[in-house]
Amino acid sequence: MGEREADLQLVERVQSGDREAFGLLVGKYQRKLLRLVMRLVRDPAEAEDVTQEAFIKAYRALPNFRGESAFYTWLYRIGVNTAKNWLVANGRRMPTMSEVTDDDSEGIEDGILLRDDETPDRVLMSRQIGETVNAAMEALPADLRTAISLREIEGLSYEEIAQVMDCPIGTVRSRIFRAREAIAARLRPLLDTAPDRRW
Amino acid sequence: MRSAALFGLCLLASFVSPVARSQAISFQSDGLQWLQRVSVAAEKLNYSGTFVYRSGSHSETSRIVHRTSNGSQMEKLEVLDGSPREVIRTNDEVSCYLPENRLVIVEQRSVRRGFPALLPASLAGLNNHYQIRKGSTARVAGFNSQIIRLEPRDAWRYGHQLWVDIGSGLLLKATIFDGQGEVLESMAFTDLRIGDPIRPEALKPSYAEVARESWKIRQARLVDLRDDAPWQFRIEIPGFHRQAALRRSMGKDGTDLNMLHWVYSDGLVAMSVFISPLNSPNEAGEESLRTIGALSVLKRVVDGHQVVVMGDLPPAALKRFAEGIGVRGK
Amino acid sequence: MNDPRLSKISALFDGELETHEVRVAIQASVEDAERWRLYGLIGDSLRGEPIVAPDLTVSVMARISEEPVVLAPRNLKPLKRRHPFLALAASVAGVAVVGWVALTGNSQLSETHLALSKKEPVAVLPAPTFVQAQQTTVSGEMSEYLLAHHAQAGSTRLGDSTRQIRTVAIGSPRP
Repeated sequence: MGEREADLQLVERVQSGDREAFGLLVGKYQRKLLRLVMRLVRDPAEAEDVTQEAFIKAYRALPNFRGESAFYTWLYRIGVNTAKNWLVANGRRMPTMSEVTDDDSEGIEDGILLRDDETPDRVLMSRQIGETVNAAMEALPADLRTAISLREIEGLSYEEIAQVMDCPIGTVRSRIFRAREAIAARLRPLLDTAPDRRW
Repeated sequence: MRSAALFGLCLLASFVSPVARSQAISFQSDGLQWLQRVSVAAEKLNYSGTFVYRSGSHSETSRIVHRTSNGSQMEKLEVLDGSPREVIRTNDEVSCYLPENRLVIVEQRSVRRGFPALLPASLAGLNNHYQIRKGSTARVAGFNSQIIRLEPRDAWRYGHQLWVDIGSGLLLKATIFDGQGEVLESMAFTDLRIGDPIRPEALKPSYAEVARESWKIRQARLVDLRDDAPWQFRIEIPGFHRQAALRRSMGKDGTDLNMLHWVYSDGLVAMSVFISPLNSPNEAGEESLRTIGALSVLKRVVDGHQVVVMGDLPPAALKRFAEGIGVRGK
Repeated sequence: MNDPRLSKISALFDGELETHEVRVAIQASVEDAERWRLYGLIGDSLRGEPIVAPDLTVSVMARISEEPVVLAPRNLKPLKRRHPFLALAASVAGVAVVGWVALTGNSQLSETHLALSKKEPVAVLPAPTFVQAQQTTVSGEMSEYLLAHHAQAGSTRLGDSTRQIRTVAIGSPRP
């Protein structure tokens, strides 16, 4: 069972009437899609709008998706088309690129993604998230840290990680889960205290 | 169907006394109650914040400060990016400072807000023209908000989505979208403080002194219009009721009351009609149909007069309405 | 502890579940959207990718749950057929409007309106068809119209406070 099959399961769930399952797909691919859109639509806030529109279009078109390609490949095409249509509708020039490739990191600055209406608090929050995750990683036992690094940073499958770490797949799954939970536990208080400035 | 029953109640309510009318309100959907909160909150609360207007490729950040004390209101808005502009409101007097034009425009609002803030009958009437639905909750500017969506039931109007602060009822974010669901315009607070006392300095106009010395000041003169003659409005937009009819001054002829101004509203959006004589034969007048964000502006020449119709309505709606504007007997 | 259930969320996130486990996992994930989102943030952070502040999920799902009826004005039936009650309203417009206006206590206006409604029958037409309009920025003259519109119309609409800065709308005014 790979990523592609898992996504198909989610899609089928949506197609049978469970709208909430689409939320999982959005949650999973929104950042990737946003980064893609940003390569065409430079302004971060506008890119957000376009990304949102792409998801809506994908939702509406979902009955016609049959799994001939991976879900993200299909979504990616919708994202590119939505962004291009938006550029045309707003009289913008297309960015000069021969082909929009699948390499997400190309063209985006490292570090914090700033919006033109970004407040100092938001920037601070983004930095704090990064620092918290780093601190949590430092505090993890080595096997948990390795497992999640191989998964998230190297992109290895559970089976590949099991081979690298010479352990059963079930152990890989458990280690990654525990690593995530440990990091999440540190992130939650940070995100829960997002500023509520009612005095 | 529930909305039909509501409409029936409203129609019935309009034949009876105000007491019975308020009973009709208790049958309103949740969505309407939220709208009622919104209409009250902006007047009753002290608040200050930064908000962003977006429309198409344009975006603009502004600051707003609002203070209520002893029933009296003061408000200041200033643009932070883009060309500097400021609007100061003291109760019903609004002054707009335009430094790039070296111009101050002053208006008195003549349509008093009904108290309660939004007329109960027109609020209930909203259901006839919009499908009002409560959505999920969302965070805006650090506050928990309730999403309310108003889908237009016909092509005469746009749709609106509102994000309302659950605690105070203040409008935190709003979008206007067309029949295809395309967002035409959005407003959203990015930071906001509610309930703080507001220092008087925060409401001070930045340009008052220099404006007094060397700018043009256009103070609108307004009187109620008692009779539309000779003008007729043969086409009615469903749900849009007359709110005000004024005779007013505008423009270079600062004091002449030679412009007529009518205001219509369906309870959610408003439409203005301005008619003024063209100083023929030199003035040819203008015919055009444009949009500025969600605002449509239509200009027509009718019988030697310049007609201007504007409002947050689809251009086609203004166009159809304008087709019915004419002079009696012609 | 819900560990077995929660660990399914983690495995679903990686696409590493057996078929028979997927349904339960989706259920658990949907109910625990915060956890799903946190997992995404953690991954992005580890990869040094920009941490994108907004979570579009809420707004996307809000729109999806409120999935608008696509109004193509061309395709709308004339108003009369769609809303028989409104046709009724048109014919009793005079009386109903008087009742409504009386609530404002603005007797001047109600007189005017009474006079009008007795003389002039108004037509309720089918919805207008689509019209192409051009976007524009704003001139000094338009600023006056806009301020007049916002000032006089303001009290009849919602959310007016921030709208006032649209007095000169969006885009810089030309003199």
